[in-house]
Amino acid sequence: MVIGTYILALATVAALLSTFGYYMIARGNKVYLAASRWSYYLMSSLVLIAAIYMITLFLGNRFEYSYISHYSSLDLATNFKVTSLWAGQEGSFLLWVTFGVLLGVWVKSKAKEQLGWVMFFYLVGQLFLFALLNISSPFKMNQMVPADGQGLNPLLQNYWMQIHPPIVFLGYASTFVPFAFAMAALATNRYSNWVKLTLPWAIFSVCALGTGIFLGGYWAYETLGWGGYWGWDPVENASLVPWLGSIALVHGMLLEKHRGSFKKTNLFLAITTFLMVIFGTFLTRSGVLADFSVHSFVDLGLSAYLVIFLISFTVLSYGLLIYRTKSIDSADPGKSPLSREFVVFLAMLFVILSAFLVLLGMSSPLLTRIVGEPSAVDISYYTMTNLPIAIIIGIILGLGGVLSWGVSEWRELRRRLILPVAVAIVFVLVGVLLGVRNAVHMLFIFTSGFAFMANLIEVISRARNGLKFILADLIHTGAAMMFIGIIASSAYSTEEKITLERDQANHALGFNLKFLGAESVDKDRDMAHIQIERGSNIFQASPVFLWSKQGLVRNPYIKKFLLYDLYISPEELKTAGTQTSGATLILTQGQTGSIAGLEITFEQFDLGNHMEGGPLSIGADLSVKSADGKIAEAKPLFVVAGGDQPELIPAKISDVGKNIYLLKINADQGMIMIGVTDRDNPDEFKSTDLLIINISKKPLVNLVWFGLIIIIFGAGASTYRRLKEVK
Amino acid sequence: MFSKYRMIIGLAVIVIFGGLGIWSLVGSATPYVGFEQARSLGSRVQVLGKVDHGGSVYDDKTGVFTFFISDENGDRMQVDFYGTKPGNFEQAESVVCMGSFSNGTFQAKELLVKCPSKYQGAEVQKSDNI
Repeated sequence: MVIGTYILALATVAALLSTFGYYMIARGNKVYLAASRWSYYLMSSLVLIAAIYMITLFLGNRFEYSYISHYSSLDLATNFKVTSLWAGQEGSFLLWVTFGVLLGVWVKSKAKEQLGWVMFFYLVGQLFLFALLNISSPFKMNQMVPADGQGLNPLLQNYWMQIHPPIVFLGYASTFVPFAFAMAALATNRYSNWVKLTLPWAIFSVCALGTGIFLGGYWAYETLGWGGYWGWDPVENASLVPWLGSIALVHGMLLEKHRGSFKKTNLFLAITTFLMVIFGTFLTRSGVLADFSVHSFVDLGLSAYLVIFLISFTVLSYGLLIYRTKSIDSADPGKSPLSREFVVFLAMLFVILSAFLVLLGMSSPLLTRIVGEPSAVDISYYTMTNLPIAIIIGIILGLGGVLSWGVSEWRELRRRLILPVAVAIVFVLVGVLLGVRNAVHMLFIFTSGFAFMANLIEVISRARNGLKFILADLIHTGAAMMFIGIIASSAYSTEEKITLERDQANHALGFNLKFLGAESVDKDRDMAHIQIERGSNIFQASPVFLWSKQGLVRNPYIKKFLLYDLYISPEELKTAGTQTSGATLILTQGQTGSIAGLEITFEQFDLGNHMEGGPLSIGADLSVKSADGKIAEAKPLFVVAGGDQPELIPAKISDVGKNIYLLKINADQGMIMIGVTDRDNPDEFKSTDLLIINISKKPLVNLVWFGLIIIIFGAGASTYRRLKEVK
Repeated sequence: MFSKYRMIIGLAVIVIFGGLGIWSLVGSATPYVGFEQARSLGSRVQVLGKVDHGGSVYDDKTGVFTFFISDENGDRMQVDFYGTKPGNFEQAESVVCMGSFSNGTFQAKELLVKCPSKYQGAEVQKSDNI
């Protein structure tokens, strides 16, 4: 029987019991404490058992399970069998809920006097996942048991892909923590504690979702050969939007912690970030976007539930916030707009604005459906809306570096502005020298450069105080670097599509290229070799065509230089066939045929005299009749000298200016293939391998990765620091 | 003090950027339409069709990948995609083409290939990924 389904059903029952118990505790009925706790542990154990059980089913090649026959196969490597757990939708929900119940153990231990409400809201969030797992169970059986599975998509058979989804789901799971505490604060009307407790988890969300975005982008760039690291795809946006929400939340929480302000804003942001996760899940998992049929909700099973959850969460949480809004006392954050408090406020405003604009874009097929034909926005929408915001955020980041908390003096401020502004101007000048002509881009480089220098100065001047005091400045420096990397690599990437003929010299983007040939690495992979040369720098690029059951994957070859990446994406490979550009003719002995105005009869082979061990020379005695009736004898030679390629020595018919080549011989059948050309050039008959590549130069891509890694590192260290502060 | 103009600034920014958002949305929105409408409009649209696997051809001279799609009424349309054949094209049941109809063919700038079973259902083949 399907044990797994029962385990999940039982876990759901335990979750419901636990939710009910914590609700009773929240209402003041402490009798339920032990029961709630034990049902929580029962639920967690069952979820863990289900996940482990699923993995053992994968390892046991149990293809009677639909999920396993879809994502695994007999020949799949063992490590991929384990990670196939999250290769598809159902399994990834199982992974998500696993992280959820584990994080819940921390939540439970810290909730203290608000235990009932915190756990109630936390579990309601988990119930959302349980519902999805019960509707589409990963333990569904196949009607017919296939002998072998369909195998894991080769795109996912990759190191990055093994760690990317768990990190994203961990990030999603962590957004439930501030949400639960915020809702509990609203329910009890007590707001003193929740920010202090959940600040580390908000920072953790920034770290985890940032890592997820980084890995996803890197995977798309390095493996998938999409030519870029970001495509504003709904699936990508579904992790970007809550990331931005978490970033805004962290800033608000820090202001609340130190100044007692932004209390309502933070409740709003904690709720909103959580809802963004749910909404993103709805958009990407319900099939409303993936399918063209935004006209019809095909997948009613899941999407109906997702909509119900989304609406009830939204109404409940925002409703409670509005209901409480009068009773929340927030302190005035400061007196002067020339303060760090003020720019932090602006940062929150613009970051959340960017999140909402991305959300608007990704839900455009649903929104436009209300007013008419469903329409999707293209990428230009995202650039148009986010570029101005990014420019402003550059200024904000820079000002955050130069302004002090409280009140800044104009004179002091002017002094501190000089160096960052000067450096920003230098950045713009360098950009102009390198070809930047667009005024908006110059502005973006200016504000990012300003942000970079202003924060770098802070990092350097305060580094001696210890790492924990410069984490924020470090993160902001990283963000500025990432901005510069993004604008350079997206707007100033140059690319060329060229067809490379084997062994022929080619030229593109200042590099000399020569296609050396292709080889089969294994049954699924063809690797092309290209020799690339620029000055004294010679290297070999080997992009790969991966032929899989799910289609062709083009693994690019990337050569990293300090200032740019040379990105070589293989497009098409045509191996030698029989087609040639010259005219050819096949003749058996004694046969006559006509070609290029000549009537040619193949008389006999002439094996000639050859020395033992010397080159083998084969000739064909031909009688050639030209259009004017003249008959001539001709003997083209086919010389095998030991190399791969035979040497072809043509017979010249000087009267008519033709060259006859002996291209192929088959002595057993008494057959030859001859070719006729006007010029003495055997290459006209060579059938060559062709490789079409897309070669591009992507400036400063490294800055994108490097900046993002700094952000992730900073957020990770900051999570650790803030977790230690929580008693 | 700044809580007073915090509201004003916040509202002003939201109005300005909300307006920019809606304006950009309207400007870059590409409607999903049927074949007939795509032909008569000639503007930038998206169409969905079942792939006719017989007649697809990639011309390495012009760099155009040509194939045919048909809708549920059996209406057939030629699509010219300015790029190479998407990796999972052979496995595709249907494909979403974004572009415009002109000179008797649908000039696609972007293809969204729909596969029977894949992670997250679809791979986007874009010519303008950053």
